[in-house]
Amino acid sequence: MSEAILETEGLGRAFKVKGGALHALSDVTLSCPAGRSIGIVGESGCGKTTLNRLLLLLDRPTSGTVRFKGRDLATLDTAGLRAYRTAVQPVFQNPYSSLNPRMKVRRIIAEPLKAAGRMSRAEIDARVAEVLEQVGLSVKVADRLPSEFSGGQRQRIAIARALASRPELLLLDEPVSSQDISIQAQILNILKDLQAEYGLATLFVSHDLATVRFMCDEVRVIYLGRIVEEGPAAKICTAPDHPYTAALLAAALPANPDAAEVETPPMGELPSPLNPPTGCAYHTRCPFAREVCATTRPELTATAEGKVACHKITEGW
Amino acid sequence: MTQPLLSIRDLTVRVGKGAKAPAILDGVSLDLMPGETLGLVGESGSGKSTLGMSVLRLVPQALAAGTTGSIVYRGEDVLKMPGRKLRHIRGEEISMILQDPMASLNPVQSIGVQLREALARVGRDTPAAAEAALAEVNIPSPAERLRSYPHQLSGGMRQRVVSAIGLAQDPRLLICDEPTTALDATIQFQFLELLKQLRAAHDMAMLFITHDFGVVARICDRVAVMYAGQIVETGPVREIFARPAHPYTRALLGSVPATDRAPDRLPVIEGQPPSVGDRPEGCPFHPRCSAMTEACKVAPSVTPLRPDHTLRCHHPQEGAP
Repeated sequence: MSEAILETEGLGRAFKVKGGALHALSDVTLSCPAGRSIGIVGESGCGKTTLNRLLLLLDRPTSGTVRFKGRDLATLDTAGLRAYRTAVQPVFQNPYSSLNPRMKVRRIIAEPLKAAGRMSRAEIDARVAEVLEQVGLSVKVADRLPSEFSGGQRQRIAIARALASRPELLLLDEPVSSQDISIQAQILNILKDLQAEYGLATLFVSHDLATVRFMCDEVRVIYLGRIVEEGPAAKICTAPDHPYTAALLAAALPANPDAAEVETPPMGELPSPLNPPTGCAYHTRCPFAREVCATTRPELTATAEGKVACHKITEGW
Repeated sequence: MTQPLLSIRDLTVRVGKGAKAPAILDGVSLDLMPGETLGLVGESGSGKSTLGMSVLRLVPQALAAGTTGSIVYRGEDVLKMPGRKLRHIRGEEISMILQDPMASLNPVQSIGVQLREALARVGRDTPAAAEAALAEVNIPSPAERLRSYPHQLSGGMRQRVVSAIGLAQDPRLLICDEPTTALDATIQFQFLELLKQLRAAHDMAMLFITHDFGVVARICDRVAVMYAGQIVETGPVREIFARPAHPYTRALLGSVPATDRAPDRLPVIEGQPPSVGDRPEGCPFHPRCSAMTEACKVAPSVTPLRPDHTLRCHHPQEGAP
């Protein structure tokens, strides 16, 4: 297996709140090797965004480490951080807020190149033209403003900006959630092609198992800040072990009126992260919960194809 | 034969007056039978929300002036109704649930006050009726919840409260405009189950606006696919999913990722939907269509393909997609 571009170990972020702490993310260990696409799946409030912010250095972890090619991010000097920021590039959900409305496309895409330094103006112009072509736009659009583009085109511009510095890892945070169906397919194809063509590693954050199945090799499912299941996308999206993943799969409604009725329909609501349940965080919604689930938190344990944190699975009820 | 509950004929909504003004809706006709759920599917800008709003005459004044055609609800044209009659129809006969419950609810009033406002219109303003209304939408401890404010509830709970208010006057038709789009998947699933229960309990018809074919498959009896202000295909859900005849419907269904397969590429529809002021001549889909010919530069009319399956296309496709 190739060297991981980005790894996290025991990563956590707790926020101080009145009378205690809110654990937005706890004990997240994952690895993004070159050329692999890792999906992070969960619903609102699960900690997906916190993870993304930590990896983008927009926030600092309260526990655990992030390593970039084996080096702890916390120990990197300015040059090291610059290399990290060049190598790891984000694409956000909403291209209406992620593109500066007062900058022309050329300047938007050139910004990461200027920040990284080292390139002449001619080189930057050439690179801008190149990445615009790669996302299916023409260099002719370089002198327009974001307001002249549709949502789908804006997201292409955001992807072009992410590609400009020849990154090794893309952090994709719900990149198609705000797009129409016909545009989603276009954007997903572009991302998948780029990933294959440049051997990019991707971390693909999404709430949608169908999109993750298309885009990712592996999946991590997060519930209330913790990974509850991980494994190959094919398994997670068809025959998951964890009851929460099963509920997510049941809720991913297929475009088929004759689809089989789900055996364990999703129940209940997300508990408050300020006052999370004891034991297994999912036990309040789990159709299989037993006494032990309310008292003891299950550890993430290896299975035949991945890992799962569930008493039912590890003890074989 | 049963009369349709709602019968829309040749509804056109223009931005401004005159036949040349851009049309948000362009010659839409549909029937909705009592108790039936019709899904309106389409991408942003296809006109599906304007259609929903038009039924309650809630479109902005500027658009109302450019509206032609008829929207007949139980024998009477909504577009020609006097104000008093319209106020009766709104809420008591036809009710609506919108995408964002926080925008539907008043943030500075308790949900009890807002619910009882609706109940009062039909003379049922009692604490017991309000509690029963919340209990019907599966809100735990309804008596306490009546004192809650919208910000104290989760998104799923808020949408349940909106439904309770919408159903307070026992309408015959519920218009749902993307009611689950802002909800998490597991919450969406539960909300759709609730809507199914409510539909049965109240014997309601529903006009269900969505962009999500999974939701259509789950809750609708019939589906109308919209593109650029027109209904391009309509038929029973099973028929449309098994044998979509319009190239747009086929392409759209084909481009949705699924959990049970991982193709190398998704089939795509190139280009993007045209904006209202910039719609192509003839069939509005022709510049993006794989079956396009010279004939498509003339607008196709609505033709029945089978008794209950109509199409607006010169080149109907056959068989499974």
